[in-house]
Amino acid sequence: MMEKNLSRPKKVKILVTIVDRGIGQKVTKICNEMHLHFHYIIFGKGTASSEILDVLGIGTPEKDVVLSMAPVDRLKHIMPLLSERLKLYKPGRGIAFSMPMSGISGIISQLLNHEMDIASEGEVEKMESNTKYDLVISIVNSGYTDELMEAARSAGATGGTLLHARGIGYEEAEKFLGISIQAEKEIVTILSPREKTQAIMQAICNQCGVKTKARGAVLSLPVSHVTGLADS
Amino acid sequence: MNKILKEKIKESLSSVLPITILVVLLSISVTPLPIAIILMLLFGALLLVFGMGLFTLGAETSLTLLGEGVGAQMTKTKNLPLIIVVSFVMGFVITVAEPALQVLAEQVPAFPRTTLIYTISVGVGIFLSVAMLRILYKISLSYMLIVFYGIVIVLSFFTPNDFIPLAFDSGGVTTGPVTVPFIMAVGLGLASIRADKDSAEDSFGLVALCSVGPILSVMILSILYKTSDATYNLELPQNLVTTQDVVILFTAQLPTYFYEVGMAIWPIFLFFVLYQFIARAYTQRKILKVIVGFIYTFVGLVLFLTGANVGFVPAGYYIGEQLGKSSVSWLLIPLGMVIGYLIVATEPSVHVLNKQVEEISNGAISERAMMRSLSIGVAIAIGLAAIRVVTGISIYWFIIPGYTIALVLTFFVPKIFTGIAFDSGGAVSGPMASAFILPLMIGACDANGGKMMTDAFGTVAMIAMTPLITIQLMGLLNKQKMEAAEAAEAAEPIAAEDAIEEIIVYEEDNSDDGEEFVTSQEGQDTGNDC
Repeated sequence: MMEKNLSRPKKVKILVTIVDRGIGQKVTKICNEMHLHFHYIIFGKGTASSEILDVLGIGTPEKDVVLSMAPVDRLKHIMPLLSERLKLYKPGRGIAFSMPMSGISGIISQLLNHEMDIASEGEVEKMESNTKYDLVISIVNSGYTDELMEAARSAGATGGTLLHARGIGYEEAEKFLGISIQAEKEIVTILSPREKTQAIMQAICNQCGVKTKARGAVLSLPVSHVTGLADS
Repeated sequence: MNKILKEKIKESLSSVLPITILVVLLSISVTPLPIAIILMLLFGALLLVFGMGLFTLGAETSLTLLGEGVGAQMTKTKNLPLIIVVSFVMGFVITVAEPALQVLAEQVPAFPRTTLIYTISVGVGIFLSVAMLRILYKISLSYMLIVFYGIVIVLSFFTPNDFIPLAFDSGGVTTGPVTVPFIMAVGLGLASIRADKDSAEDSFGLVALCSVGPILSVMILSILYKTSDATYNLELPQNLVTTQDVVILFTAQLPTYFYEVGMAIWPIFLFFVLYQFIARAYTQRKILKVIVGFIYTFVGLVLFLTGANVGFVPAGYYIGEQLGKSSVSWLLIPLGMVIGYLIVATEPSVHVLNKQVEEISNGAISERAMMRSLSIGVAIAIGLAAIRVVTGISIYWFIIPGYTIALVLTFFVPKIFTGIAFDSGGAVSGPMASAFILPLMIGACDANGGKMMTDAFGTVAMIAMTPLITIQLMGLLNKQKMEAAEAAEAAEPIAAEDAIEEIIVYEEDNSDDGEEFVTSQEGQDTGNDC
């Protein structure tokens, strides 16, 4: 079986899909149809688009964040498929994008590249617009998301997704009787057009940087194949 | 339309409609009901929809948020005496204020009212502290449950017979829609700052131990007071002629529940004020959000309890009475099971529980799977309760085997399911169980001449018991499925067996896909170093 696949294995990228809670199952189904069997669903939360909605308690819908791995050639097929099946082209349905990796475990790469029999006939329309995007990732102490989003929005961000995490510092976790304690963190991910990235990151740093109580770390990753983001 | 609002409306409608439709169908077929009663039920159902929606919307930003905050902050202080004292006070204060307990105290004139309330509240307080200590000292939940339920069973032999069903009922009743989300959230808060591998499974189990407190308290009281004077009063509406009469009946009851729910919520709100004062945890916007959350929870519960208690009690009683009188009284058993299956979705704390379970397990235990297991559990529970009403056999025949199975199962299922199962026992036995199922059984009992205190009571105890078994069985199935999947995976060699676990490193350039590939050098390095 493997011998069929003599060509060099295609480069694998991370495919990130952010959709409403419950729709993540559909994403994994589509991935499986495309023989992409490595996917993980994380629970996230949308960030509020307005303060009034937020205070009224109806501003932060729950999200499924699906991480999958896909070889670049199949990525071209799955993006339009996702967009079509999940109606990502309509505003507010969700977004999908991919990110490059700098390395991957050999077995996974081989497994992903191995089911290559999918006919790649037909010219696939190019999904991306001319805008380039970055994924701005901020890791802050728990409870500072609102401030962070306010700063980011003032610099032109439209929305973000919130993930919960625990910090793992270089020092060992504190012990208390039978349990070990670690600080709660929140990870806020914002997809931003390239030209706004720097301003957004600067605004986040000013508001929630390492020197503030939020102890925020901010970084950005390059993103390609974006679909579902209203051009703004 | 706003996504969350849409979701909430859908959720409340799909929870309340099935049981309402069932009762209407029953009323035009097997158990004819007066039109006024049906009208009350429909009006009550309407209140239930709004109440449920508001409550589940508000609980997350008030009860849950605060519980999690307190749980996390308290543990971070690493001050053992403080944790014990705060846990005790929280358990005590919340239970004193619980509306369901007030109702219970009124129904049982055998004990002085305040004695009963304070004894039960002390019981819950002690057990909340014990539950926190259990987590900190890493004692297995199974052992704790076996020891305490062992004590309960032994003590029950000394308890006057009339009080045994009542004692078990009070365990389920006192953990109501305010207590369950809050106490559960304390556990989640504690788990959220933990780094060790047990943190997910330890998130649950607080409510489980807290339910034991009231059972023990009522048993001890009934032994001390040596009384057998247990009665129960059920008031049914009279003289309803016009539609307006029905509405007047509801509005007349509204202030009562306004007061009761207010009593239940203000201690928690006080906690919030104190907590904010000491820990300064929230920003101004968050404070506003929490306050709005409390308002939702409050209004939601007032509407819900009014709808349930005014609208559903008479319907439950009349259906039970008609079935009890009829020649086919065994029909109560299958009908009760269908009602049980549908009623679970109308318990507000069940929605909070299922949501949190899904959240903690990251979707592995879905809301739907939880709801189905709980529904099956309660269907069985009401079937058993109906058997007791029809035949009059002792509650012991069900309680002892039931708890034995539940406790034995704790050794075989993944630990997280044990915690969830015993917590859900407190969550399912909420206001709808007392407002619809209990009157149903009392009605049937009245009609067929059974003893209400021993036969009809104990219904809530059944509802609180069977989910312990069904949820754990779900865990067992889950475990077997996982093991089967793992075995299959192990048997089937990985397609790429000759691949070694090497790491492939990609070059920076991107030759093989012809896509625009973005390298990270384009003016990216500013901003990172703040």
